[in-house]
Amino acid sequence: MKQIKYFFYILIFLISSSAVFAQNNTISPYSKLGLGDFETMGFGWNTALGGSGIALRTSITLNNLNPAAISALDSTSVIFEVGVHGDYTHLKTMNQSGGKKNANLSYMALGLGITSKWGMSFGLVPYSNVGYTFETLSPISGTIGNYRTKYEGSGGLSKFFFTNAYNVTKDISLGVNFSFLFGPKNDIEYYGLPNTNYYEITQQLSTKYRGFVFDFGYQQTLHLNNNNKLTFGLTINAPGKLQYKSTLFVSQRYSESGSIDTLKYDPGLYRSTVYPVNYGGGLAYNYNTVLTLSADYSLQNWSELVISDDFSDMSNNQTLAVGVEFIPKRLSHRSPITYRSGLNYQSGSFVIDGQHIDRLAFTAGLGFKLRTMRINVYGAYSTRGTTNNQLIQEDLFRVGLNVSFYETWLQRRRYR
Amino acid sequence: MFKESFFGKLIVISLFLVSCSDDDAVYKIGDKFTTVQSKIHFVDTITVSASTVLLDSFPTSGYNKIFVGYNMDEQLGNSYAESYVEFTHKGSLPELDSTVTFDSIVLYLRQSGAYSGDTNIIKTIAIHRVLEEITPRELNNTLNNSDNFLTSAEPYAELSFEQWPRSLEENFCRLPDSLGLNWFQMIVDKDSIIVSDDNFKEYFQGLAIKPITKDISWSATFYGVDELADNKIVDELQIRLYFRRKNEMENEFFAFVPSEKSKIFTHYKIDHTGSILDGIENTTQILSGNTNNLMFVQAGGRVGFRIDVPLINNLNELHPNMSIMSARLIIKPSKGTYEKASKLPTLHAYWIDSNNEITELLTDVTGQFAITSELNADDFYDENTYYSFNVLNYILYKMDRAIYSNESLFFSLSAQDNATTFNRVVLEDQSFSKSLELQLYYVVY
Repeated sequence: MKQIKYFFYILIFLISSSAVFAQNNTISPYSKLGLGDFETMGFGWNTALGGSGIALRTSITLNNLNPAAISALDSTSVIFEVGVHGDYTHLKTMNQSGGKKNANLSYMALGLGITSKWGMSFGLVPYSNVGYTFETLSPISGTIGNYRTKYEGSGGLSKFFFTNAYNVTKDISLGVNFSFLFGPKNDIEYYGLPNTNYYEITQQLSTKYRGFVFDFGYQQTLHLNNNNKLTFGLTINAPGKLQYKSTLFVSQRYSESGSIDTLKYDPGLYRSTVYPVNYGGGLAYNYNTVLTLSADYSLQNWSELVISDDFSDMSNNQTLAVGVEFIPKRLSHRSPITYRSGLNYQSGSFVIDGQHIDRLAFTAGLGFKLRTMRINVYGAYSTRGTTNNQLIQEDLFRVGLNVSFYETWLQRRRYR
Repeated sequence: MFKESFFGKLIVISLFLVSCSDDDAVYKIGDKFTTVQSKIHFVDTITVSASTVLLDSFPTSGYNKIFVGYNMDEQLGNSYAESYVEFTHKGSLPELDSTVTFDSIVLYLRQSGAYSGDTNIIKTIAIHRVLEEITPRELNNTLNNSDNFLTSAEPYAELSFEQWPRSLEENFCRLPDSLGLNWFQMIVDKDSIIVSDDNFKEYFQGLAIKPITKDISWSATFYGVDELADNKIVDELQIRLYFRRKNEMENEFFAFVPSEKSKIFTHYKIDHTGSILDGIENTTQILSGNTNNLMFVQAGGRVGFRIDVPLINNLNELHPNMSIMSARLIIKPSKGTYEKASKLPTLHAYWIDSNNEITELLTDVTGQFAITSELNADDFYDENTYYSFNVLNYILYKMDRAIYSNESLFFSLSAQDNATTFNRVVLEDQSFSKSLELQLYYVVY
């Protein structure tokens, strides 16, 4: 019976995973740049802690920021975790402002405690999101005056991951993660003239990405005394390989009414680039089971990712994430409620017109147990960009919920 | 315990939440956002040569307008217009016996409101009898501007009248009683000459309406057959035969009306002698350099101008991956040659072949809409008055076939304006600054 149940989960998992990535997960104009808007805050638990988790270990929920963390799962335990979120994004330029809502499944993952030393996890998460609509006015070469370009984008990369971690000693864990990245990024540009009765030009660039990355993780715990524990963690990935194929379709249409004529169609060929080496380090402090503090620093060397001429050059991003988790004591017959909060700062992967597009986020959340489910809810506010230099500032309010279904396998369920 | 239903709800809720977006505003942000180079380019320095052409004769019938007048034009030569109309009787003839008395015969005219010249000056026209059948000189042709017909040396009558802006003024011109009595008697006698339509048209071949006033520039337009104007049906041109029945207090009339629109036409004479167009011949072209760097458009003779883009093939070499998005021809009328910018006439664009014969109308690239001028009229300062034409279709066609085709573009008044006005426009060529420009926008992809 249990096997059937797992089959059921895997089925749901696969069906839903297509839904996870079918929608535009963002409305940010910044998602036009690079590979799109990266999902960097980790799973729901990590997000509530400001996106920190390189040095965190827990047996009750999944942490995808360090492959070594998964060995913390209890032997024979199974955690199926699914997250959803709703966003309200407020966009502001010098002259315009407004908001948009959207909501989506965040991720799905399964964690397995194979033995007391060996943990395994796999799942599907959005890696980057693309979804934007905006306009620019650019000078026409050869005269005074501007032409209008409307940009529309969709797509995003997904990541299938498979993680294994092993406790080499009681306090040292090593993990390795294989990720397969895949997905399209569709960028459409419409060029319009300041007069009437002309051919509007549409340029559609559809880039398909596929690639793989190996990540390695290390975690070591130091038991200071009975109540105080310090853990540090490291992550690094081997240089991966990213393949991409850009299909270019340029067409024209007269006065928005005529038929569409193809000017150029280039199906493109797969080309290859190196996925850069990124590093991360984290430190966590636990006081008994009551308090956890964590801090991470990581560096993403995006400037080494070179795709093509049209591709916006990226710059290296530094992330600083701190989080705190507090579990106050409650009456013995009640399950405790966990309170979490965090802060996340990213220096930004893009420099536009000399302006770093950095991002600051505050997060807060709580977790509780409901029967065999562990429920985490969180809220996050992040602000990015600026209205200076004709850029756009975006304020994102996110509310998220993730549910961990906790079960054991190979064991008969006991009556509680 | 697993709560399947909870999981189900979660899926449902999450799907429900998906993509409920509200604000559809498109945000405008600076072009620095994307690093791409400008993809749209503009050129307006392409050489365009222009020459004035007098086309072959053109149809002036079918417009249902009796156009008459005289136009003095020092620059382009004086024009003269007279109109011819063939008549038939309207409906069946009345039953008249010897107790009915003839009263009079009158030509009834209705002004269309289109006119030129001063309103407060009295103009005079003469009504002549046509002595030949009004029919095209060549088989399968239509009556055209150069056609004219033998008329009586002495007019039947003269009519002096005034014109008012936009008025549908009625005019009555009494014709000789001898003519009226003759027709009256034939009706009484049921003479086959008048009973049969064909016989009548052979007997009475029509009227010619000619201008007498020739010391000012003026024109008048009268309606031909019934027409809607100001949402009313306007009475057509009529020869009214008035008579009175015994013991009746009022006259009755029987009307003779134009036989058909194609038998109402205008004959033009333009005397180019001594004008800048002296020596212009049909279908030859005079380069603008020989006419003070000007081009001309003139009604009545179908004078217009042709443009050529000699280096059009070079456009293909602007860039290997380019496409023309928009092509406009900008032409400025010569300042001081028109009274009011906003009253400049609309110009039409035609394909013209190497023999300077019109082949067809120029359309937009969809082939659906004929290209006419868009006038930018600067009445106030008169600094920025110009005609603009969408010539994208022409440019694309020529870029494909420049070396094989001698076709080009011809600009003139509309066919109707050519046939029923004295409109004229003087335009400047490329030797004037910003007067004649081909403006192209192209994209490089």
